[in-house]
Amino acid sequence: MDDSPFLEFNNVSVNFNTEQMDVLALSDFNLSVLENEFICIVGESGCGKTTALNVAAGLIQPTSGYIKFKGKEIKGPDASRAVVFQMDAVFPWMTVQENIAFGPKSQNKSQSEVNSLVDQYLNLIGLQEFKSAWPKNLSGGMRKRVDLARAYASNPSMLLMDEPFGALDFIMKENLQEQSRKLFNLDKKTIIFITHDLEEALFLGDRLVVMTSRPGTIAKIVKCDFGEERTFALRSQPEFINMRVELRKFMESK
Amino acid sequence: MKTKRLKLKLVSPLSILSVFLTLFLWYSLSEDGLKIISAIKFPPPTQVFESIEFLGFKIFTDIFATSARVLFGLIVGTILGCVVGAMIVFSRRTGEFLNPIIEGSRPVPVIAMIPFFLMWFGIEEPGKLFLVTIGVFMIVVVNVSESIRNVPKLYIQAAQTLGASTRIIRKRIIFPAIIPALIGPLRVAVALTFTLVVAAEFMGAQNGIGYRILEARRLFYPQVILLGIIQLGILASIFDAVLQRTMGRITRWSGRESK
Repeated sequence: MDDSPFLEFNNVSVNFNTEQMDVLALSDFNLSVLENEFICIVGESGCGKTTALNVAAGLIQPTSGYIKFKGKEIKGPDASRAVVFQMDAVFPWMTVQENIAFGPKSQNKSQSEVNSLVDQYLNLIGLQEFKSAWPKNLSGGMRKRVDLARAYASNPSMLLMDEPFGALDFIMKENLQEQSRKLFNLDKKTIIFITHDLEEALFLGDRLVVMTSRPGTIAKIVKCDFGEERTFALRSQPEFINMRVELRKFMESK
Repeated sequence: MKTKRLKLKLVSPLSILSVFLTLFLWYSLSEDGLKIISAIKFPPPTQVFESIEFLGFKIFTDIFATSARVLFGLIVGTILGCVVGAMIVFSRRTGEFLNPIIEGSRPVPVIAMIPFFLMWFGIEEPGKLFLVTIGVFMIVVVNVSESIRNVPKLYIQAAQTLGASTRIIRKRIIFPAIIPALIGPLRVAVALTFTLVVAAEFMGAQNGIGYRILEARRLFYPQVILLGIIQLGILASIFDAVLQRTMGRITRWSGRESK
């Protein structure tokens, strides 16, 4: 693993200036993300996690400080950093396969390449038989899987995930967490995963970033040494539970 | 299965009942039945049926002429409305330039411009087509620009982060996203188009249902006037049904209840 940062937040502050209010969402946010690292950012609702992710995606420009991706300052969104949004962002007017093909097609990949990518990711998410279905006919969990596959198929260098499983029931959520980690192990990408669920963050991340409440800044960074392969059994292991309890105490004290 | 459902809907007993009740009421009140309304004020069904024979082949030429004008106005007005409506949103300068003209002329009833159209085009075809096209354009342009502004930002941001260019975003995200929002305005446009075509045919024509109604008024044939009104009703319903079916097919992804 190359030690130079793949993504670097440097004293990033974001101030939302609207007619109604003036909000400092992010204050002096500093974080270096390494290549092929799975980073989870955890913090309470409204602490600026999504703002940090949107800055990384190029959807928001920092008010001060800068953010660099592969050594270059981020000026706007592009295909190198795909986002899986918290809300349902699957295009409802496209079938499952058209959704997955959207990224590769937009990047002018050949039809045969597009087809093989679509097949590959349809198989990975287990929705082969739903490839011609409209999103309206899928469950919330299935749509999230399509969203994930669409992001992967666009072949980004980095994946930014904003509480993607927040609205799902816990069984669906745990299954998708396992699938996400499996996808990550199979097809290594650099991932920033936002969540307010501490257990989810510990289960998925290589490193865990704890944020303070608004204005959001980093309170603690923890390494999660639970190995590459992570299954449901990990949740009941003592070291996992201990870490969860300690971090919970830490977050409560903040 | 869909065809079966459609057939069932077409022969809905309540719809048949409402048509028969109207016909029965008409028959009963008219001179054919209880003679409550005189034939001069409201002709009975028999007289209207007789007028079909009286007009003969002219009925078809009238229907064709009126339908052609409606179709032209709808197609050209919708295309122009979509293009200009999109330009207003996509280009700030075009928006600033066109907005005062469109917003200033939109509240003016297009019918008020008929005297000008008569001066410019006489009773020739272009005047009628122009009038109808402007009417449709005014409805579509505002709805297209508003619908584009209402496309959820989330879809556009998702497309951007998947590597889509502005051209792809407009074609594959914005355009399909606004179609469901245009069904209502287009149905309003269909109804308005018929009003405008009849008004245009009143101002001078050699054929068309509106022309036939005006001619019947001059010659005092109330049964032909009523026949014209019935023709317009049926024709407008067919246009509306075709529009709804077509849009229902295009937006079958949306979960919108089709008719």
